[in-house]
Amino acid sequence: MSLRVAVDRAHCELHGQCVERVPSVFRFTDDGDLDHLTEADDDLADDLSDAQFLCPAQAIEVGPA
Amino acid sequence: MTDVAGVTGGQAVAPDHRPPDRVVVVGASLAGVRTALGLRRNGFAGTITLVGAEPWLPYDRPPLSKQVLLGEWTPDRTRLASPEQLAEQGIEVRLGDPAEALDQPGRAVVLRSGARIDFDALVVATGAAPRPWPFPTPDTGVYDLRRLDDATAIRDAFDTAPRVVVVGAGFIGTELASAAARRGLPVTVVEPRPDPLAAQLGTLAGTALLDLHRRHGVRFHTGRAVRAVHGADRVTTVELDDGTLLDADLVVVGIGVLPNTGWLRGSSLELTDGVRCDGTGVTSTDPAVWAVGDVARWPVAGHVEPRRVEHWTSAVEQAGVVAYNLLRPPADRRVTAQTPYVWTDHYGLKVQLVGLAGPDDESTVLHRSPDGERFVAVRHAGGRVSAALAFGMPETLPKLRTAVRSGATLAEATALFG
Ligand SMILES: Cc1cc2nc3c(=O)[nH]c(=O)nc-3n(C[C@H](O)[C@H](O)[C@H](O)COP(=O)(O)OP(=O)(O)OC[C@H]3O[C@@H](n4cnc5c(N)ncnc54)[C@H](O)[C@@H]3O)c2cc1C
Ligand code: SF4
Repeated sequence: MSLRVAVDRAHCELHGQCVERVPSVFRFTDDGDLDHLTEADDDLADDLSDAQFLCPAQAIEVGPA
Repeated sequence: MTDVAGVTGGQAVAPDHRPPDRVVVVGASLAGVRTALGLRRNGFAGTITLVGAEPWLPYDRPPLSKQVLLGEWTPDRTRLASPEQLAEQGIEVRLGDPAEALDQPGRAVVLRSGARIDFDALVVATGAAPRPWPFPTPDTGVYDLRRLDDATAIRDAFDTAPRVVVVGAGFIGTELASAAARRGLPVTVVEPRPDPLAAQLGTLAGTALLDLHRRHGVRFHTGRAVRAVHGADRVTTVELDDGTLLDADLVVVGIGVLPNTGWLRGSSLELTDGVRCDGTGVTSTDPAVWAVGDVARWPVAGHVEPRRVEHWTSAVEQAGVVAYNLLRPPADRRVTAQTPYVWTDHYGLKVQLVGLAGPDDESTVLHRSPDGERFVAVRHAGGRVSAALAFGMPETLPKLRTAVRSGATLAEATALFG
């Protein structure tokens, strides 16, 4: 059923490409921090892979849960 | 398939719809390596050859003027793909051997070594190179900043506490000034325009960024051009067109870039300020040749003429589109008109810009932080938003993107921050 999603917070630079591409998994909190689900449905594999590609900080990891 | 307004020349129709067996990608940097990896991601099983002029495996450039100059990252942190990953993906990499010519009728690329590489499809990803300096300079102490070895050389030169003069107050010049000032070095920036950064950010945000630099001790000579750089073999002074002499141990020139299209001269490709493409990434004149990244001129949302966008995300988006389209017949291809996005880092503050404003578009601040230092602004013309920028407020970016993409009115954009 699911994928594991992790963001390396030491690398993340808050470009928000992930928020833009997969809003169901990534979001910005009101105080400007990145927040994300740690598990996502398999259906989102392609979208998550796009987000990984688009992240300028190469901070997103996606793997089997 | 939707059509993008302003794309002329129409859809190039391949004589047959056979997908290619051999793809050659010229330019082993961001756009090139992402195209190669993207082809595999799309299931391409043929051969991929990635040709690069530089001796290094693909690496990322934005950190060069940021983390690498500050000494926060070692150069290997900038790597975009490991040798193992490239081998595993079946991508043959030929480094340090630039393409010198395109044999268009023969469907081959000719390298400096004399090697010929045949292709069914060619992706041009040769990027851009610093605009050459218009007059002679001393051998030592004058740099531009595009390659990994430029960044490490400047970083090392910082260690001897030099007096730094930056020529050109664009993103790269001012990021360099920020890095040097943070290292405690005296920095002077020379810029012929009276309002540095206004072309990129508008006068309002350009002025705010300049003020930030001034608060960190950077001095500016605006509306002044460099007349000469003096020094026998090592630079000693920079002379401005009003006669001012600036003492300098280290001069960094950031006066823009030109697309690397020299090796394509004589081909049928349209090469005026970059390789002209349609919104699918195929070149305007040859259905077997594609172009991506800084070297390519693609349609941009809201603009009639295709243009080069020298930004990281454009290179990545174009690589994704071409990796998809190159394997498909014209009728199944995706078309994009990109919304440009760029960021720049100064003293730990991130400025992010979405969209492409006209030079005369007005700026309006929509929101400010309580301390007044950070803000969100839009550029607009005729009541419509053309671009938006976040000055130290990355969390506002999704809203700004929505405003720019939808071509919001100024009132609608203001309401987003009400
Ligand atoms: C210091 C610096 C900081 C930057 N910061 C930012 C930033 O903060 N945000 C942002 O959005 N963008 C930034 N950019 C821009 C971004 O790095 C570029 O948009 C991106 O590198 C474009 O990738 P590319 O692959 O198209 O071109 P390039 O990275 O220029 O790569 C082209 C490659 O092709 C090679 N090549 C050239 N000619 C030949 C030939 N004949 N044969 C074979 N190979 C050839 C070159 O050697 C080069 O390796 C920055 C750029 C620099 C230099
Ligand atoms: S795209 Fe990458 S850098 Fe940007 S917010 Fe997402 S994880 Fe962070």
